Amino acid sequence: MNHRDASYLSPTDLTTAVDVLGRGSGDIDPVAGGTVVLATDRRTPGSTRTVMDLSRLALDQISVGDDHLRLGAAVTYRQLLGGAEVAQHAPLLVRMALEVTGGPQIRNRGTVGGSACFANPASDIPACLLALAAVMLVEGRDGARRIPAEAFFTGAFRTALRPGELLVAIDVPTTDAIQRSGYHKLKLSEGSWPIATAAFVERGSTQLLALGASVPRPALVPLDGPAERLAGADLRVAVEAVLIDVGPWTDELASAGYRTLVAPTVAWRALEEALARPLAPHPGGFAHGA
Amino acid sequence: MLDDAADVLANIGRSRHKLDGWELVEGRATFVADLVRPEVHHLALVRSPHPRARILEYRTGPALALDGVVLVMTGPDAAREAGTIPYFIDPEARGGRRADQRCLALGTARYVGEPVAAVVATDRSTADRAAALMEIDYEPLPAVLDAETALAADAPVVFDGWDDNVILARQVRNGDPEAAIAAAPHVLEERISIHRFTTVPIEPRGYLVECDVAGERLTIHASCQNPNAMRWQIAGALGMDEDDIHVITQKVGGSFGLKMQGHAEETLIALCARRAGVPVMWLETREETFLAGAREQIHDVRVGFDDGGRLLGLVDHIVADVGAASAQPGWAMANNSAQTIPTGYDLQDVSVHLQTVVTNKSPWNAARGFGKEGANFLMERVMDHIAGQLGLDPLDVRRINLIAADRFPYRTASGLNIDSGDYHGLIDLLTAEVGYDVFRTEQQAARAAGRYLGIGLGFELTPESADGPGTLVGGYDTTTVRLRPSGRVQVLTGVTAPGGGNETGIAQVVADEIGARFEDVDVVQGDTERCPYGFGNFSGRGMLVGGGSAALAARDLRAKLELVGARMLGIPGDGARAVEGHVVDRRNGSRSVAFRDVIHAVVTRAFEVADDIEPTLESTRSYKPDNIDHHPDEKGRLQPYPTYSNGICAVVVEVDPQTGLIDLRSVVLSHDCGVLINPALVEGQARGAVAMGLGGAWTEDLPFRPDGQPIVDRFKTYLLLRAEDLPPIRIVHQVTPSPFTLLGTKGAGEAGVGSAMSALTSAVEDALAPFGVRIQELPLHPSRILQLIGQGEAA
Repeated sequence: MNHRDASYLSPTDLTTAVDVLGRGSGDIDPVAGGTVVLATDRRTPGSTRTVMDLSRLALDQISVGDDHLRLGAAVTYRQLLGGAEVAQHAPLLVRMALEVTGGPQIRNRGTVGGSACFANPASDIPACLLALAAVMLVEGRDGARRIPAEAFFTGAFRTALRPGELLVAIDVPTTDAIQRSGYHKLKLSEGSWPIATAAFVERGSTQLLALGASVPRPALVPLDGPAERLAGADLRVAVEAVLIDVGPWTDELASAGYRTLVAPTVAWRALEEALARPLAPHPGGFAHGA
Repeated sequence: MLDDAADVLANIGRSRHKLDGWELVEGRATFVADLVRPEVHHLALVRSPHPRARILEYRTGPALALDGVVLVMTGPDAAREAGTIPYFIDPEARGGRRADQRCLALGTARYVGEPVAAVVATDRSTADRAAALMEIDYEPLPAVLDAETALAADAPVVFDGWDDNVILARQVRNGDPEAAIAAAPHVLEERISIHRFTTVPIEPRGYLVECDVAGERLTIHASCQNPNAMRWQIAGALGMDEDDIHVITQKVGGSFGLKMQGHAEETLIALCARRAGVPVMWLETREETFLAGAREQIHDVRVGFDDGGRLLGLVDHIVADVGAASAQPGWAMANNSAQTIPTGYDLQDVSVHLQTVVTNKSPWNAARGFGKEGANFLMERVMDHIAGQLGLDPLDVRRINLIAADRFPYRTASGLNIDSGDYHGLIDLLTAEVGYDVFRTEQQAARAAGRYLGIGLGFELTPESADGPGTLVGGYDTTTVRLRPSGRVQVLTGVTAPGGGNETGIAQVVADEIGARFEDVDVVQGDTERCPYGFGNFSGRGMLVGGGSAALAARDLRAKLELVGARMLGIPGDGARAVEGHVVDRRNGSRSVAFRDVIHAVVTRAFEVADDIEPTLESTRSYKPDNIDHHPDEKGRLQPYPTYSNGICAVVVEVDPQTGLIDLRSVVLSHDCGVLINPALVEGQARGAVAMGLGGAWTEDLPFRPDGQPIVDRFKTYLLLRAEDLPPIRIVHQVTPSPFTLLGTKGAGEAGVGSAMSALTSAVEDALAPFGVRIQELPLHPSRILQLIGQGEAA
């Protein structure tokens, strides 16, 4: 354990935090729940980084505005599970938080904003934010920016955050109420990170289907017509087109080939859950030919 | 009249709580990592980044310059003071080849992760930073990363001076299997592969070594299994007397074979403590624990069988990849794979050819199952595939081939003398618990609805409590039982506990055998100065020889207590009986004298009431079980195990053919380890073994990149099953007491690994039978399952 080698900052106001981050040379790690940074640091002998603890910046607030649900960047999975506002305006996030790997420790410490900024392809948050058409609120020395989730995630472990910028909140639009939503995650076992996820949200006449974990960055699947009337084969074609476009993700637990095979099924199951009834015909068949 | 039989059972057979249960639950137990004091220094290792490389130069200056660093040790430094580490199981004693085993690589590094240098500093953080500052130049050499490649004529040779990479080649042969197969109506030929996976104790390895001022005596606190082996090996490597090394093992948070001795770090840390003149601690990180390999083997098997599925002959060729074999016993496990074939099946025409092969991967370390799981997995695959080929129920194929209960003791083709058992009885117990016939009906209905349920079976023969001639794999052990002035009973035994609770079982045995209350028995283990010489724990031996020797010693003291107590009560010597810490008049239970008073009388009235009795209040006895025989028979075969535990596991799964994911629906183990001393502890061990087998077959995997780098470094990449992955593991017991052991026990603790691996694989195959899926390779990664479904459809 090398925590004593790291410098520790704990700013109490956002202006100072952003100022310090902006003056740093990219060697400061903002830490919310610490589930990534602390675990990584323990495994890296002699690492001498600076850690900025965000816990005194009041970024853990959940509020409802005229046209949005606002989640502070340090809102935890536990807060998602306990918040009536979240259940009302973004039930998808409750659904997602129920399945986060790692048990109570991770749900109590892990944060929505931390996970988004880490941008690990094999995680739950990114695809959900795309399906929710969320907007990322970012503060930097040069001012504030609002970045649509789709533009925020730029690649594996990469975001549109510029050096020194800090994610402070995430807005989920509430102008049109969410009628239906669904989430499906494929993982290899309880301890496994996500191998493929899909999130589906319907607001008014808008339906958004997003893929995660099977791709290096979350991606929306263009839907040709209402999901209810989608044929399995068409969905498979649409999902595969996204995978070809973005390129399938591969990591220690599953290959790109496996992810490509299962991503359409995962998407289909998210739709089935949202629409609360089985769709037919199934997109898979058994012709995998891996 | 007191009923002798009733009080004998006051403890044996009851699920007493673990003696150290509260201490563990409340976090009061002391593990090696808890022994940190200000003067304790920490060791960190520099490990080879190459699978094979010549070590050209060490630049230690930057590390030495770091404040807090007290010692830097390189391979050549170590070689000046340390010789080779003696093997726990000497390959030459088994007809194989030795290599120089060094505590730090000398000249050549042979796997990624091999210790090449060490740093000692005032604290772990400084030691880690210093290790990162070490500059070592290497010349990478061609490496060999799998056993079949390692067998090629032009393959790089892992160990200097060897002409190939075979550490041990061995043939186990009986009858004429080739002729039997040639004459058989049916033949099955296939390749069955098991991948590399490992043990993951919650507490990784750890050691603290303290040296006296003169550098002559070492005190070692170790999370280990075999304290006496440790001092023998360290003494051998450092040229010390074993007597000058005191090993103390307190709490151990799981061992599973990983903590058997011969690890390079053990000699290294002793050397560093002696050189640095300060207490030195090394705590293994989880990443380092994942270097330990096991299990990986390929079987090319050919069997002949008749129309009813009865085996007629078997020829198997095993190639086991044991990595860069170390002095730890792990390399020898493949031997047990060969020897255990054909497990509990009645077949005398058998030939098994084993090649145990070294490669440039981190070495095998002993792992629960000790290779026997490989034999069991092979035989269970064969049973299922015979059933598939003939269209028979896999249960029936097992029934027709298992050794009948009236044929024990049964000498197997490899010479193992199976003590006892009732395998058909085990199957009946299992099928009743599982509802086998009902399941088949459900399965049909589910298939009609497009759902794929399967049931799988795995029989397991688990030879236990081994003795290896010429090695520190001892098949007996020794215990002292001592009466203390307070009336309490102290037990000091050469058997150690890995965390599984044998101390509690031994206390139960002693309580019943001496007639004390369970609460009044204390057990001391793992201290080479206090306990009699013994072999520690491995091979399910703890209760068998620890309990056996403790029982013998307790009986000696019981006789003395009853005799003196009877005299104090004024009754004939045979008129008294020790019960719950009192010597009681058999005819009048209200008349009794407490142990402490009897003990006091022996001490103070040695020439009166204890006249003609030797006033020693302790007894030290060894217990050597029957049925071990190291005089080769007419075929040259040895018989290293007194007992053969056995079990059969059933697993029910649903497989999702869209994703290849497995939903584990139920697991039952029907288990026979003879007499149960403490059923809760036996079941705890069995559940753990089943979980280890399920995880191994399913999600646990230690792959390497093509450049020899291990992929797994933490629990995110090594998917150990979690509670949520598993349904409750149900266990049903059958008790066929061993005729060859004092208490009728057989070994417990290992059985479950092989049967669960087999049953899960069998269940997945059964679920996917409509696709013609045949599983010959582990692990059951969903990508492999989709591939098999695709192949089946194409076929």
